[in-house]
Amino acid sequence: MNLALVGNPNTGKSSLFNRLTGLNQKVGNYPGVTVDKKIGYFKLPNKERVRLIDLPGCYSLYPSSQDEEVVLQTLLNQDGEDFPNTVVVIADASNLKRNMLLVTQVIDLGFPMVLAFTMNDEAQKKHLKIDLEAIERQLGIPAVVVNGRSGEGMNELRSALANAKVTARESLIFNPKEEHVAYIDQLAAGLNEPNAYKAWLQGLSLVEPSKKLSLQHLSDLAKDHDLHRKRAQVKETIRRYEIIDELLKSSVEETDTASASLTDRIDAILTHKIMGFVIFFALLALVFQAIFSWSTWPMEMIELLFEELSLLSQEVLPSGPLADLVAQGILPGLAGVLVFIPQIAILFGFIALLEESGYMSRVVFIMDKLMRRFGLSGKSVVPLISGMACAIPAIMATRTIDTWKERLITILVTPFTTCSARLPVYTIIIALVIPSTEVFGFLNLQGLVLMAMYVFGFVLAVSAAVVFNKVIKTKRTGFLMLEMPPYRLPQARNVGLTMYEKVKSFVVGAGKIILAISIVLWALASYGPPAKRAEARTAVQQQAAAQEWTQVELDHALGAADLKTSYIGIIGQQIEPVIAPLGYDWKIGIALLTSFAAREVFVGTIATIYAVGDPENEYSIKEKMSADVYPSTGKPLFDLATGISLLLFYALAMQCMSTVAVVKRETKTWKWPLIQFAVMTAMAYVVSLIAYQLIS
Amino acid sequence: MIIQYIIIALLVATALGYLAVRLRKAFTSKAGCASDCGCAGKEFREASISNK
Repeated sequence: MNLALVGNPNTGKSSLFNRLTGLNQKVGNYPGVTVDKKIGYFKLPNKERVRLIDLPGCYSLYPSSQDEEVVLQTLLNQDGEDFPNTVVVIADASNLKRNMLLVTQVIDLGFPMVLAFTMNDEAQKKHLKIDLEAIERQLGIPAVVVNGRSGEGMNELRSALANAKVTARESLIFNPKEEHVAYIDQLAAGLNEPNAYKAWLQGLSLVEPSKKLSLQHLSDLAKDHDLHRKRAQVKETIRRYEIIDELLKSSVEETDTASASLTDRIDAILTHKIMGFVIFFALLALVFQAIFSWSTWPMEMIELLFEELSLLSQEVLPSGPLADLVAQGILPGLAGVLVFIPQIAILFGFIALLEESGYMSRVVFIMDKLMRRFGLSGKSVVPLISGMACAIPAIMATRTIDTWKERLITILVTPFTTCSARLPVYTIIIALVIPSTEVFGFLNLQGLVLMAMYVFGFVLAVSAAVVFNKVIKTKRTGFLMLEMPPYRLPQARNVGLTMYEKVKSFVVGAGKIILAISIVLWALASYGPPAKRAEARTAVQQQAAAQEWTQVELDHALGAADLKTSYIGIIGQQIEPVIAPLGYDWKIGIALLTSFAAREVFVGTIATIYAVGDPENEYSIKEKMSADVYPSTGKPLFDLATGISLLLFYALAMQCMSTVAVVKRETKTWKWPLIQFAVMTAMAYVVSLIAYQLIS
Repeated sequence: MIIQYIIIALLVATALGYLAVRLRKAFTSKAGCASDCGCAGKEFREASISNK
């Protein structure tokens, strides 16, 4: 059986999909989580194997975005591999009127189908009682109540599906032929489509699921019969709502209309024009305080573990270049990534809690109100907020924006929002240059600065959008239609899964790149032109003899000379003149270069370079960075001026190859990613330069 | 010692090869990035899982 799951956004579709197929996947609350097709398999009670496709959430079969077009094309294209022979249409029982529009449309497509009501617990809280038998009788299809989160109703759904083949409704709820006989006849004949509603949708929606008639032909046919697409669509929607009103009158009982729901009462506070922002910023402050204060102990443990492993590897492995590679290249590089696991877990744990509880949709709502003042439309809010996790899915989420210019602006500004890859860079620099003092007696200054960096990224994105709006001159027609899911107690399992997935993606995704770069970097840092190295070593030894250095002093000076005359040292010194005005030495320069692969590579790179320069390897990466000085002045390298300059550079620069790639793919040209890369990197250079020169 | 240098050369070549493949995948994969993680790829790739 080829089964399709169709429904409005935020109706528990993903939860039901997970429950049926066993596929673990994130369940979010705001639009844009289900963006493309997902497929899973399960078995019916009669042992029949079902291929289940989870289609993107949509409000009707008249598409207003690329995602919604996918739904229509899948349901109409009989030659497509995903064309279903049975459909489960999901309806949120607490929001029946709106959901039934799509339900009645899908029924009219003539598929064998089952209607699954979700959110019945919410409906009961709203004192709504659904008469399943009456609904089944009037719609002519089986209906069940399910709960993807608890598993309730799954057996009933599977049984209904096993019997669904014979339950397709024969007559149409809305029959376009009643008014447009000649048009439908001509259309049906041209498309070879016996179902009048399918023919109607193909004729009016102007998507191209069938090659039988060209889009031009369909358009001409509508014109010949004096049919205006939008008007016909509105007329159909009004007619359907009349039918739905009648249906609900006889099948849904509302037992108490007076009492305002708890969700409404909470919303009055959380979406309040002042209190909403106060609460949001208080929550942000809590998250960033927690990132610093709760992660200290586990981070120290991970650091200690890697220091011990490094020492152990030097003791156990036979001395030689391979042992050096492990102790100075691979282990410090990996430690640079793994040490941030606690912070990543805490950040995403909080984000998952906010999503699971339903609060994230309220954040989008209050932000939408704020951003309209800056000339941004509501649909840009979701990508900008989800960009705080990663810019790549955020840029893909812009597909829901109808107008191209508005979508382009959102794509261009999204990389300014602070993604999770910036977190390791920010935290290590903040920990180095910002004192861990208390503010107002209960807030940590480091946490406040981290929060300020997140706010700074968001302000940058909004400001850039204002500028782009003026330059590109977009006509803003888009608006945000936002689902406000009821508040729910977050499920520990879902929060835990999100934390696990994000940590895994950080370790596996970034870890492999960092491991590869660490190996290459170690080789480049350990070897250099022999003649140059010998010359540098002789100079150091002569100086040591003249000044009577101790053996430890000599070893350190030789290590530093070797590093400086290594291949990486030579490359670094070539770029040093360009970055020196920003307060960076060649080691930071190399880290900046490798960061263009991905920002978090910064820490791994620094860790490897410092490990090669310090063969004894007895200090943590933070301690080594903290002790480093400018050779010319003897002043600390990572002081406040360099730290702020680096923070600003990482906030502004476009240092992510994957983002460049996704922008190229979404804009289908190299023009925009190259402009974005050049503008962001130039801004990063100029702003960091000004900051360093002013502070130092 | 020579064997150690050969192993290191192989490791460096593998690392460079991996980085090159990763870069190519970033520009050609459907997910838009080469990540094997769950962030974007999973939501955009066709996930096919059999429920045993």
